[in-house]
Amino acid sequence: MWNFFKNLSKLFGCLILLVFAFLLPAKKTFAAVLFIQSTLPNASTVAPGQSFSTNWFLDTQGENLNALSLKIKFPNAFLQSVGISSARSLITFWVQQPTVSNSGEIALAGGVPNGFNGSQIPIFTASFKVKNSQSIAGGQALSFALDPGSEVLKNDGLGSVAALSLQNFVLDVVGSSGQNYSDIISSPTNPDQNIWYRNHEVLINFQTAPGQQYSYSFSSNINAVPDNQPAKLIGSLDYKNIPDGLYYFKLDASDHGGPWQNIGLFLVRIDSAPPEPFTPTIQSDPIIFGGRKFLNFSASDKISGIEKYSVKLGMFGNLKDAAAPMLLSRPLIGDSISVFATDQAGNVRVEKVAYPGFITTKVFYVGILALVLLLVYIFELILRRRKLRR
Amino acid sequence: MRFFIAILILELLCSAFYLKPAFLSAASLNQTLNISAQVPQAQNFNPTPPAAAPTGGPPIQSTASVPAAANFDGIAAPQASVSLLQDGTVVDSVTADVQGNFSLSAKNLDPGNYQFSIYFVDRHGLRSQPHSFSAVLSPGELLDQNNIFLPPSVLTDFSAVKKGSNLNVSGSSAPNSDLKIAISPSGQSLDSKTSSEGFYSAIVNTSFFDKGSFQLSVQAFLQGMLSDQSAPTQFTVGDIDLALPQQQQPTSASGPADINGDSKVNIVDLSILLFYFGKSAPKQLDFDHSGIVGLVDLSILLYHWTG
Repeated sequence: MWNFFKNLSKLFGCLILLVFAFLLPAKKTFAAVLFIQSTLPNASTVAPGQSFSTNWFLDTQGENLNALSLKIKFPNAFLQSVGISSARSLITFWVQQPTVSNSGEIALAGGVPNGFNGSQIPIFTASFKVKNSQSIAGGQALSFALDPGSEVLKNDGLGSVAALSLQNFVLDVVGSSGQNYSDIISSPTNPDQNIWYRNHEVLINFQTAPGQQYSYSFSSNINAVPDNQPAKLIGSLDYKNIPDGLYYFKLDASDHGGPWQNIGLFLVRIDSAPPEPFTPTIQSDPIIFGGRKFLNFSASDKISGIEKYSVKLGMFGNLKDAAAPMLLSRPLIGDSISVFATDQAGNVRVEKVAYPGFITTKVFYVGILALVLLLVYIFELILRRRKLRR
Repeated sequence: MRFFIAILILELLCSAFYLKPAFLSAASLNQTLNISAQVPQAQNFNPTPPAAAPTGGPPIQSTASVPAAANFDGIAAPQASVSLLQDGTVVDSVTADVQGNFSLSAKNLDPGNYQFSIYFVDRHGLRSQPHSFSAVLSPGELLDQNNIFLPPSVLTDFSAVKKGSNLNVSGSSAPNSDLKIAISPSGQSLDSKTSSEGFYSAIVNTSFFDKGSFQLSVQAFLQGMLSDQSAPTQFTVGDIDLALPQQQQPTSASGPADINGDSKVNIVDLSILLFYFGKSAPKQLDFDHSGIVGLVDLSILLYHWTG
């Protein structure tokens, strides 16, 4: 009898513990979330031949992070990567710029000084085209996956790893191959949707079919949509004086007064501004290059991002592509080194840093002057001798 | 002939005294494109669809951007040096007044994503945890951030303390602020207050601590304003007293990530670190002692970034 009560009290105790366990608030598990915002009119469906762009953001869930290394798998048997960019990313310094491998993996690594914290931190953009192959058919599901080697690190001075997950992003393939989306809309001024152009006038054309009505929108707002009021067809659409930025031309169609459907999207990228001013510096430290002088530089471009750096040593040095830190050799003639930062649209910012060559510019010009004077003197002498002979 | 020679000599004389000859200036200076004009204030630009005339009509907007700007004001430690970093580069720096008030600004900003951070270095050379935030600036936008209360600077006299000994915690914040010193994982906390000069000093008695690792952080309260938490400071309670490493002494505001020893952690240190990224490197670059310079080392360097 005693044992019965003893067991009953144990059972009761366990029950109370269980009830408390459920009632107590669960400890919040932090996990940063990588998520995608696509340009697809219907966020979850694609059709063969369709092109779309994905903007990748990080929600830090209130945690301050400062470094990340991401590897993302995409179904390259069905999706063709047509462009990847760090333009408009918050990541300040890249260890590895976003790249796409042939095996269908996106890889990138970088960081932000003093950390970042927010619900929609822009990381990179990637554009894809659904392949038009026989192997792809309606009903197929395409998904992206985060490689387990991906990491985000806390801004805690220790480099602690924070949990990371990828928000579910699955695309269902609808329709059949044959329709070529990319041919519906075109632009003679900005033909490639993945290239940044410097022109401020944009011409847009789209193919029309009998019995169809069309409505379109052109905006830097990814969420802007056509108003579905039939537009007057006027041939090429000519947008003038467009400021720098990324624009979305969206086209809807209505077949003989039927429901409106999105039939195309075209991206226009404009950047006419050079990278921001920056300050190249010359340093030396025993830890690197054996203590010899090296050149350091880093620029940013808020619109299209930095494409490359080039360096010209002295007055007559060749312009060569470079990366920091760059071991310096002393130029033969000149007073400075020029660093050229070029953005993705080809705009260039040139900054100089003083670095005297073996012969300074002043000495060079004085030398040239002396040489010319000497030649003039010799010329005069020759003329005088000829006159005397006559 | 003589006239031609005279002109040539004149040109060379001008060149010798840095009056740049025409043939040199054109090629190099034309590389930089500077655009200036009007731009819409809205974040999203929606060009007006072309009307009946496909290529006609008045201009919709002008072509380039009115620069954006950002202003910040708040409270730091009195007469501390306060710096504003824009994407990791110091763009403004001021000395706070005797009440700790400061005002900073970033100007001529292109529209886009920005990461700003603000920190102070107090009169003892102690650096506060940066207050960081990101912002998307539209053309012509003026971002105003007011009442930023920077977290207190913190220094402990020991990194390891013998159980039962006292740990001295000191630093600075706004004058006459109330402070809460929180210790985890023990969950203990103690209150303190800054002097009229902004300094504070508190003693943590470790008699009742279990042996192990702890971290403390300090938060300040002043007139209804609450600062961010200070950077967590690690210490252990055990059998010995161990003073702080040299780089964490007040004379260094940059911490262990100052690779080239210039009392700053900036692009130069990053550049050296990235040169060795993925490789084995000298000890002073391998902050986590993993044998390889990697992402953790980058994270530690970015944490200590001073610009």
